[in-house]
Amino acid sequence: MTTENAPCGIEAGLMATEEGRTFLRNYRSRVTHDAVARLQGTLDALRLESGIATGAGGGAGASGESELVVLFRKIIDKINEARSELQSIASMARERETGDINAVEDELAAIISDTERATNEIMDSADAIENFLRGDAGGELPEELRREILRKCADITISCSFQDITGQRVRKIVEVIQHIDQHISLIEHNLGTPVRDPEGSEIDASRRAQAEAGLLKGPGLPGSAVDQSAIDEMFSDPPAESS
Amino acid sequence: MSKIKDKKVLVVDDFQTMRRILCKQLVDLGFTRDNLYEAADGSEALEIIKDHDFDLIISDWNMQPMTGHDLLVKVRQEPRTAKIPFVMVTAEVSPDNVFKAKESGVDNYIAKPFDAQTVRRKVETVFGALE
Repeated sequence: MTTENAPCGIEAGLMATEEGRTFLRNYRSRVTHDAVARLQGTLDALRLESGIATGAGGGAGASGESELVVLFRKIIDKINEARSELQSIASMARERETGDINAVEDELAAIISDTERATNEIMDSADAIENFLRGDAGGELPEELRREILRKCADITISCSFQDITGQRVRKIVEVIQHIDQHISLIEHNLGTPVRDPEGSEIDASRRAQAEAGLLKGPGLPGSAVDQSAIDEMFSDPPAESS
Repeated sequence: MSKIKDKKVLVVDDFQTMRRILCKQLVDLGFTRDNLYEAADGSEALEIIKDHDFDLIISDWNMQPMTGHDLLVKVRQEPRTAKIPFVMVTAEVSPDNVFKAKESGVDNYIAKPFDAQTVRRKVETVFGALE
């Protein structure tokens, strides 16, 4: 005997298996297709009844189409638009399945490790020059020149902090990609495909909360962040000497 | 009061290059390399803190899994570590970040990228004038 809740039970039963989910997807697609076809049929009928020729036309005034026909045309256009967007999302999801998004993340991670390696090599060289200058051989140079080269070596080391900033900017990009990835997963979930478990640890939750509060934005663009002198004022530090 | 060379400092940053730069700066300021400890995030730092008494913690903010801010909160909650001077060195430099860190008990704040003079000034706010 069928009951009011029977359709839900049938759908839940179908969602439990891959074949069932495929059936539901195909069924939804077929129903949508049929609905569009019916709308098109209705539109054609309206055209015939109102004596309007088929084919592309202008607005209500220009072609003589009634307001209702124009409205139906717009609805059909929107449905077709939505269908092509869904196809494009499905295509992105398929790309993700083949690992394209993971590959992009790997490429970005490689930027971090490559710049890290290069930065370490630069710092190794600066250290080697410093050690040379602090050793016996350094004594052969005029003192002022030796000090100046040491200062420049320190500057080189400090400048290597660009790698940290670069890394953080790349991570921001990775996070945006992951955010898009999660949205695709959500769409897949709504279409009946399992989505990964979004639960995380307490630490993850705290990090997420800080991100949502806008406290984990990473390096800002020039002009968008407070500078060191403004921070110093907030800590009532002695003013920075010009360097 | 013990000398700078005897002070123990914990440097926390997820980028190894940044830890290296900061440690080099500290050595140039007179700290001993053997007294400088490194951690890649807040949870790793907490493990190291269990076994050592630090005179200063210098930490980045944006790290995974545990952020520098979470580390600061944990350090301030624990009576044994609550008084350790804590300096945030970070690219998170919105006023909201600085206020939040102050509210949680940070002693000072360095914006990345920084220069050698800034590191010196901030260390001096903790230990007094360096030679």
